[in-house]
Amino acid sequence: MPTETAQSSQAIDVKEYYQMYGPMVYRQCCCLLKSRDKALDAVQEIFLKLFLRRDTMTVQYPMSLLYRMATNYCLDRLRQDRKFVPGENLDLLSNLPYESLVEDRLMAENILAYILKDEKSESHQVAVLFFLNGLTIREIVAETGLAQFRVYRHLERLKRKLRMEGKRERKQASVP
Amino acid sequence: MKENKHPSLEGEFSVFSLEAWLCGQVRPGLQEEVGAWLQADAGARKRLADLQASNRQMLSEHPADWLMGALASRARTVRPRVRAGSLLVRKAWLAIPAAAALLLVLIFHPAGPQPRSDGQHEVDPIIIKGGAAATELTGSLQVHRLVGNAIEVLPDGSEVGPGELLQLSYWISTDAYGMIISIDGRGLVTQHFPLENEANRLRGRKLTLLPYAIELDQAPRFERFYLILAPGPFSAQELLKLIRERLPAVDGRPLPKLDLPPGFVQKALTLVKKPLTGSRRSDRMGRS
Repeated sequence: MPTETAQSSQAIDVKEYYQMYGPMVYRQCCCLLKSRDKALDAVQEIFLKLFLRRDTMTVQYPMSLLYRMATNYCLDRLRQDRKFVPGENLDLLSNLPYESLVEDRLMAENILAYILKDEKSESHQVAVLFFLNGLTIREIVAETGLAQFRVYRHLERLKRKLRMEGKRERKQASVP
Repeated sequence: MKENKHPSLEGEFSVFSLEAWLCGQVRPGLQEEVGAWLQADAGARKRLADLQASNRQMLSEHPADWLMGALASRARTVRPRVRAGSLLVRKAWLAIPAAAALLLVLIFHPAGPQPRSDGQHEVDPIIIKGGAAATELTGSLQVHRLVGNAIEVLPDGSEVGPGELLQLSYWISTDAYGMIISIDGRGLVTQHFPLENEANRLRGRKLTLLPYAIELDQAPRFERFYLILAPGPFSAQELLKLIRERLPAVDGRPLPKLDLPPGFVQKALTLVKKPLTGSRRSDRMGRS
């Protein structure tokens, strides 16, 4: 089985892409949107975006691109869903509970709330890959090109930040 | 919350690597290790087999033709006045607020015969008799317009101008088949739904926005939109041909109901065109 495909800059064959990556996109959308119908709609939307940009895009790793597109699309949908409550959707987090990072439910809720923020930072990208997509550190390193220590640092910073937020929230909740 | 803790932060791989393996896109530095992991771990091999089976099932239930048909209909234009280049952008700004606005409208004005200014009903729903039981099929058609950053729902008779961006939505009482067309002041019939190769099955009891916006052209006097419904499948192309054949001359008077074969339900909504000003004013025949 081939283990790497580097694509040239020729126009994307959307049909071929769908046959190769469509099921993966569908699974990812099902996992995040928790609905087969919504996932099928999402597949169409994601491939429509690809279709409209097929002549201008240069894709080296189509699988990574489509995985990111699927994740981003689903996050947008979740952000738009007014009924979405982070505290009730913790099953979206693949790498929870991970005890050294996540001590309690409040932390998990804060992580999910952080992931749902529309942010473009490197920290946010790492958090999405780790907590939402369930990638390991090694996979994140390979996927993002970041050094391993940077990936750890992002997770550690996030942990500290969310711990402090958690403490603050507890403190506020305890004030009568 | 998921109970499956990740076994390690450093030495293991996740399903992501299995997906990459299936696509032949494991990153160069990880290829050998992922291969070794698969050889050593029966659980990983089982998961890989599950993914392969899932791929086969997905592609048999939703083959590439399913996607390509949908994409072709979504990405192409019916007429030049629908701008393809920025469909997604328009969809983004129109779809969500329009849905919210429309929801409010539906709450206060449930679907059903819409009264005209003279108090009469525009179109009465037809009782469809077929199969084991009679089914009442009815629906409503709405038009939304972008004004600044807001979306407004246009009632029947609203005034609109050339260049304005509109989005259509519909609600029907039960699953059915349908099409949406408009006839402008020159008598030109435009099909808005379904687009080419698109199925014309409509989902009932659900507010649905068409995924593309319409830019009004310079056609004079009015643009009248029709939602045409039927309980069973029909050929949109053949019906469109029939409508064109039976369409009376557009002479400035309000358009009558469409002359449709028995069994079809139609709902209509008319937008009045603002008169053009200056050198671009149209003459009575609609020529600019």
